[in-house]
Amino acid sequence: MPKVAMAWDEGISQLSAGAMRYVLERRLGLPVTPIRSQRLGGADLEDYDVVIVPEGTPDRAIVRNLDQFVRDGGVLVAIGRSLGAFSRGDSPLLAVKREAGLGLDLSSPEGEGSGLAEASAIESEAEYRERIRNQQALPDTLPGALLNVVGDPNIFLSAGYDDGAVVNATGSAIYTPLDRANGINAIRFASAQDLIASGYVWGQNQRQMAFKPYLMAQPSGQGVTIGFVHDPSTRAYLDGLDLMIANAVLVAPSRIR
Amino acid sequence: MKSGLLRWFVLGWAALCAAMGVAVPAQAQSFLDGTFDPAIPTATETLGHAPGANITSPTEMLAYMRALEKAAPDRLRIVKYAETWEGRPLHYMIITAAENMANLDAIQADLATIAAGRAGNGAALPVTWLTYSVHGNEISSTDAALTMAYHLLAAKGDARTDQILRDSIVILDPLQNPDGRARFVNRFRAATGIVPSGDRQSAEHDEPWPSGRVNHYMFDLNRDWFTLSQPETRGKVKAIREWNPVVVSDIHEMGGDNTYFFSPAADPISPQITEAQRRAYEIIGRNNAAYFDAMGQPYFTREVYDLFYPGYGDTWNTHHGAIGSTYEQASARGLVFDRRDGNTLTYRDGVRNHFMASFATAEAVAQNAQRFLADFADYRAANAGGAAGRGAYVIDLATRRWNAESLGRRLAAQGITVLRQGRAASVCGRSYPHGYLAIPQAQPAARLVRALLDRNTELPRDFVAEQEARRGEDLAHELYDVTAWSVGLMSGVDVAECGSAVSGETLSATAPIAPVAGGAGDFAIAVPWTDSGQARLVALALREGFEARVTDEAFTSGGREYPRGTVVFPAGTNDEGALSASGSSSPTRSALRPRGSPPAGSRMAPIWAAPALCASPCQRSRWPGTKAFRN
Repeated sequence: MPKVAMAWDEGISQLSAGAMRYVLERRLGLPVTPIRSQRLGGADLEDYDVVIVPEGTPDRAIVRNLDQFVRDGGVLVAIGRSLGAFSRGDSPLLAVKREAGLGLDLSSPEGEGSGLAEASAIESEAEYRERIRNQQALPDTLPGALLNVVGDPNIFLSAGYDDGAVVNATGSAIYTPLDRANGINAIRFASAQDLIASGYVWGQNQRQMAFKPYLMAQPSGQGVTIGFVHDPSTRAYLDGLDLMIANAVLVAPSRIR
Repeated sequence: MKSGLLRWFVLGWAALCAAMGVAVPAQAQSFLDGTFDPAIPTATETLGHAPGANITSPTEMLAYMRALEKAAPDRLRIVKYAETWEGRPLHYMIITAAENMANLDAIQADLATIAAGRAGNGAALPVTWLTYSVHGNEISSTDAALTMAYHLLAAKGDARTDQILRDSIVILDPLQNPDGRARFVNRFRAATGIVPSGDRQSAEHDEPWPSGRVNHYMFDLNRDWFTLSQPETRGKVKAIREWNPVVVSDIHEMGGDNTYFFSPAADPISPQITEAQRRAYEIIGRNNAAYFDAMGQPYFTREVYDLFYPGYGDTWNTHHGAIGSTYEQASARGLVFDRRDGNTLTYRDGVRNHFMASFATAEAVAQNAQRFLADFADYRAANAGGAAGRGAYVIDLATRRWNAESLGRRLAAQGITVLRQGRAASVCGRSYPHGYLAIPQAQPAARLVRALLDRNTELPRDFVAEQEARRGEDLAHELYDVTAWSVGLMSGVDVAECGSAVSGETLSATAPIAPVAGGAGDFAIAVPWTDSGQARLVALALREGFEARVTDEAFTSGGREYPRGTVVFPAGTNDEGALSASGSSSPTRSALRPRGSPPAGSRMAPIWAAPALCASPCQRSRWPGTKAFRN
């Protein structure tokens, strides 16, 4: 059976690491070997088939070592916030970007040259509000809602979810879809009108999250990086997603031979 | 650090007074003045320090509890209710007057009758359930629980204490998270020097990973009450359902620069909480306030800590009919803490405050015993009679079977009546060929049923409007936790709301989930990829060394459809006898009986049993059209 390692210790969310380990070990029966983050950047991972990085901020050494691990034929499963580290740089393991809030103008120029700002007259409260808006802002933070997702039927990662699934989404992370040249959006959020299964979602987030990826997979070298935009193991109460986790951890290693 | 000389002096003095038959004033042993029975061992005698002078470890706590029980077995009973992953025991303490303790079974039985929505026989007394340290680094709560136990047993001639013991039963769960507290205490003691530091940056305050907050699996146990994933949770839920408390206070700590919080809670309040319950919070709140005002200690209510998510200790218990609260004390996260306002917060301050709130709460219940009991009885009876609805939630056993069966048992384990219809049946215009589970709304725990099984729980309109307004100003929202948790959706099962009569046997929480076996076939055993039980079976089989293939397309065999992702254990490459035996002994086996060759046109890939990354090409699928990862 696949040998599974998991990033552990400083820089990794204890709740995310614990929940994923619990689901894999106690619900699915798969042993997991934690490797401390301080060690992971230089660890010899040849014996492992899968490395899981729970929510967190893995450092550059870890990203480099796991990049090599994937190219050598390993499966990297990145969860939630840790997607940030694996999507940065020139040849990221996940060629996606985090989106800014909807309706913002990222190209807003700063003042240049003279040191004086261009003259303007603000004529309304609404215009004032637009002027003071943080144009680099992320989408508003979701306290947490249950959202509908849809699977791509042509990839094993969505096996068991031909009728879709319900996932938990929290926070402000919304990622661009993976380009077909780079990989597959194995599971994505439903359309805006079908998105909400339960709970409260800010209107802009509902529009912005539609069709965006939930579970993505990008091959690199001999291996693959699998990213869950939101943690499927959270609180061990999304047991409806156990098959999705099993697809990524139990099945995936055999699919890249 | 304790001085050996000081301890000797204190013990000597106490012994002298006891020998003279004088009840030792011993103000240092409780935070309320009074006269105390020297026969009841004090913290100083047993632990070597006064309450709040040191942070008691789980082992030390239990030793003190045992000493108290030994001294007062007629008024204190310790009950073990669970064991942690790391093997530490969890106990609660029942404390009441001797005459009540002698009549405990009858009281408990009458409470159960009332909880079932039926009329009692007068034997019942209200149970005040005070539960501490669900987060292991929220430390002053446990020492407050020990002081509370001491005070209730030792206070002499104190009318308030006498009333609490006579007119109620106090149950203290002093430590919901022993593994977490042990982790904190060990690290704290390792880091503390000859003088404790108040600098929040010092190692003794700055916990390494993982913090003491969480249990062995790093779970926040105060989100787990309805999920029951952890042994600590399962044990305490079972214990609470055996005692049917009318008031539950869950005693926590918060940031050290803060003050004290007790109920009434902040918005949003769950729509499943009744008006009568909201009024009852005021009784407890006012008594807590009186004690804090007398101490001159600041506090706040109605801000930050809400009552919306049902997985907290306060909300979950409230949905069973108790008045469930969270109390929060600013944490010294050590023995001493330098606050930003220039003051110093000590561990003892926290222990004192939590003791006061514990005592004030128990007193409020005892002073209003009949009211709390009557409210609880009315609540349970009204729900049983359909006050929260008369329909039922019907869960199809044909969809994600294992998850549905498991969910049913988790609901049963938390005091919800679940019916299981094992045969093909039709209800509300739908046919259920594999049967169903039904959860009727007309039952005493109806509010918990609604909170968990309703597809959606609406936030109060004015609260939503306020949050949207805040968003417009780029301010953070004020929701403490998630807005959705419908358990049917989270388990991936099919839940329908039905108004007609449903049938079935009452499901026991401990009933095993029956395997669905179709026997082994000539070609293979196939495990459809349809529920958590199947995934677990595959994992266990791979651990045993069986070889497997996974299908990429749905196929039909023996008149039955198998979805893509079905895992096949070919008989040819596996020891057939062992495979069948393994399958039939597994609790979640699901197999079929295909015959002959694999389904025509099927495409399968291997799931290998070999443990390492292959240096040479791994075993490839025998069947044509193996799907490589790249499309």
